[in-house]
Amino acid sequence: MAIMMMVDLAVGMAAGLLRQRAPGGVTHKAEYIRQRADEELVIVGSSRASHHIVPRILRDSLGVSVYNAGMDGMGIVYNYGVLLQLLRHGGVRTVIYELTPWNDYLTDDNGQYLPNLRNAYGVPGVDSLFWSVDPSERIKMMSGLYRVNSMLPRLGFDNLSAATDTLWGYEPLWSRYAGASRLQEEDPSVSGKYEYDPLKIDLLKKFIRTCRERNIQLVFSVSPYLDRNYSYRYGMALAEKERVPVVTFRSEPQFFEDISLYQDPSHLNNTGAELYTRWLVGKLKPILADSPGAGRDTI
Amino acid sequence: MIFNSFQFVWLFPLIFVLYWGCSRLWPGRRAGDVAKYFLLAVSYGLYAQWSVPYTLILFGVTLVTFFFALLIERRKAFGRKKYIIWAGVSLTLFPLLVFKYFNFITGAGASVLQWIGIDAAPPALEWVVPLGLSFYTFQALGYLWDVYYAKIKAERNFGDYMLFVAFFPQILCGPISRPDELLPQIKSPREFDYTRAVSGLKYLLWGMFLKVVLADRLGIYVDTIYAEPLKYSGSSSLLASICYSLQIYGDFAGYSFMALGVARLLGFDIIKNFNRPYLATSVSAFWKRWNISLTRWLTTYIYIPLGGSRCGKLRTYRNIMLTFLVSGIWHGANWTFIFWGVIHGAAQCVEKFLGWNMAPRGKWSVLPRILFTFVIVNFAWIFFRLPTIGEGWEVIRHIFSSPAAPYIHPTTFFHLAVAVPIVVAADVMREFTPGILAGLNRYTVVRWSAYVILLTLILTFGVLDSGQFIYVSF
Repeated sequence: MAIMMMVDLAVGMAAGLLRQRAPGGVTHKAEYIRQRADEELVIVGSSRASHHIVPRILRDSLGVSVYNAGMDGMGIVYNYGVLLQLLRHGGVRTVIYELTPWNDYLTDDNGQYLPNLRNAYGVPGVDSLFWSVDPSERIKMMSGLYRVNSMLPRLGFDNLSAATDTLWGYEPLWSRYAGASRLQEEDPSVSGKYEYDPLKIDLLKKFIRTCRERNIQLVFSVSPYLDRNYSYRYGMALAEKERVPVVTFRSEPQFFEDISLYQDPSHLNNTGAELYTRWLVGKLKPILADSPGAGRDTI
Repeated sequence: MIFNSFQFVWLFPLIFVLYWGCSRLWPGRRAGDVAKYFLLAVSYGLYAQWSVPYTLILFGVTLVTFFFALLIERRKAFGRKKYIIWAGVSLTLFPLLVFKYFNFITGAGASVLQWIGIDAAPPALEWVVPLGLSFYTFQALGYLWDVYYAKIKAERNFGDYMLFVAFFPQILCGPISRPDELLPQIKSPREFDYTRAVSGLKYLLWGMFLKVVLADRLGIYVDTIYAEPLKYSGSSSLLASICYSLQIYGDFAGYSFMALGVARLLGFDIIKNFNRPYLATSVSAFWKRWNISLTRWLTTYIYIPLGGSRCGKLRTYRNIMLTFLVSGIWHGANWTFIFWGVIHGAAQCVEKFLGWNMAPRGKWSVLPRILFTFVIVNFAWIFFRLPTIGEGWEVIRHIFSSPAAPYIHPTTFFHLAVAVPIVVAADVMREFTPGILAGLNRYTVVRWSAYVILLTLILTFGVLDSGQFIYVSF
């Protein structure tokens, strides 16, 4: 037992050091969000955020500092944790939330969103997120070994990777999709069968409320996809009810006609992301001009 | 309660302390009874925690086999006994047929009707199959047949028999115990045995490693490739098939070792269900090392009553095929499982015909035979894993027609590079150089280093999401 406690302590400390020193990759991104992210405009969401929205274009067009905090496979459980970290640093005035139904309000395994938040467990409010997903996390997180569970290879790779600060969190994709579009109109008889996750919905509402209380302009974004398996009905209804502006690619035919903009049916490649971000700027400008903190903005 | 859950981590120590505490608090023979009924309450309680209504099915199977065994024993003449045993077997199998095979049977019936031009839409049941149904049904059936063949006396104590069927370490995934192994242990009072408990802890640790570090990590890669096999190269499918062979081994052997470990910690000895199956030199030998308790059950209650191998060659082949057909059907209500059983049966018939079912003569032929057996078993697992036989063939065709480099996710393969060499080295050393392993085991430093390394790997590399065991669904 004593040996295991020593190993636990040693591995926990070593992992902490590796986390802080990682110059690139997801580890660096998570640490940056925890320690420093104080940009005025922050993008949150899944891989569809991190690969689709180019901070450089937003910064040049809107004249504000921008960071893309999107993370592969992440949803509201993680995103709410990111918001709590951002609030500690002040600075954030606008959040673009890339909605992904499976990650943000439909039922799946919420435990998958926690590993990327483990580094921020000490941030006020983040710990209770863990407990709301699984009460046993309160005990599990006492272990240094558990805190690095499944993360050691990534810690190693991220310590060996090149610095990616110049992209402000954006992760470009470079290849081209070779298949056909699978985009279809949403079938209400199918989407009616989806199961909604009460915890995610509660956190999504909390996210909206917190932004409103802190005078942060929240914008929901639905970036381009060619996949038929998305159900945005609930997200759109919630946005309407809570009066959150939505920017959706559905009004722009180019994004579902030109498949060369995609890497796969759910992700734009860099060409598509740059085009989409430029289009997004046009949609964001009037929204930000009317936002609660518009006087502070430079647009 | 599954062994890789957080609930097990806090609940089992409590069960352990209360169980052995019972033995200390009540003197004499009563201590054994109290501990026994405590275990019975825990076994039923844990099952009811999953589903209260389905606990009634467990109780029903127990009740039916208990009373039918008593009825069988009363009849001396085999003629009458035959009717009683078939009534008992039919009633015992009824839940299994309804929950597991109803949709399959009606679906197959509808296909036949369609083939002859009659359009029928069979009713479909959308009920969840009770956990461990195949395992406890077979265990109870084994008891019934043993009483029928007068191998054992019918049990008079219903409490003891209830524990025999519902014993919680083995109810979800086996092993399938024989009544003459487990019932005497249930009946006799147990003393805490330090050596047995330590060996139980070792099995528990090794089983946990196999499950969460080997099986569940490999499962991530297998699920990715098999979700859309044609999207990846043929070599990715080949790699996924090898990973699945290792995954199902880690998953099922992992559970079996944990069950063995938990049982030993409670003072029981149950059968060791796996014995390095991928080092078998023939498919026949593979079945003496894989799911040993099921092989033993099928041999005792299907193969031997059919005549076994003590009849003509053709009848022996027929008996093998029928036994593995039952094995396939037992694994699941799908043509893929039946086809998988047929492959294993056919491979053994061919081996028997060619005389390859015997151990290899020279030591240089051992490795080629092991590899050849692994290839057959590995390809059979492809049909076992995929939803249809057609998709199985498609994957096999894809393996040989699309030889581009395999898709390798660096993080997954970092995890694999840790787990696979450890499991391979451990099994190879236990098989071929047990003396060296025993020698190393004598040093406390080596032993304790191994425990610390395994536990550290479980915590750092294991998939700790209480993932379900593959065989639970069988």
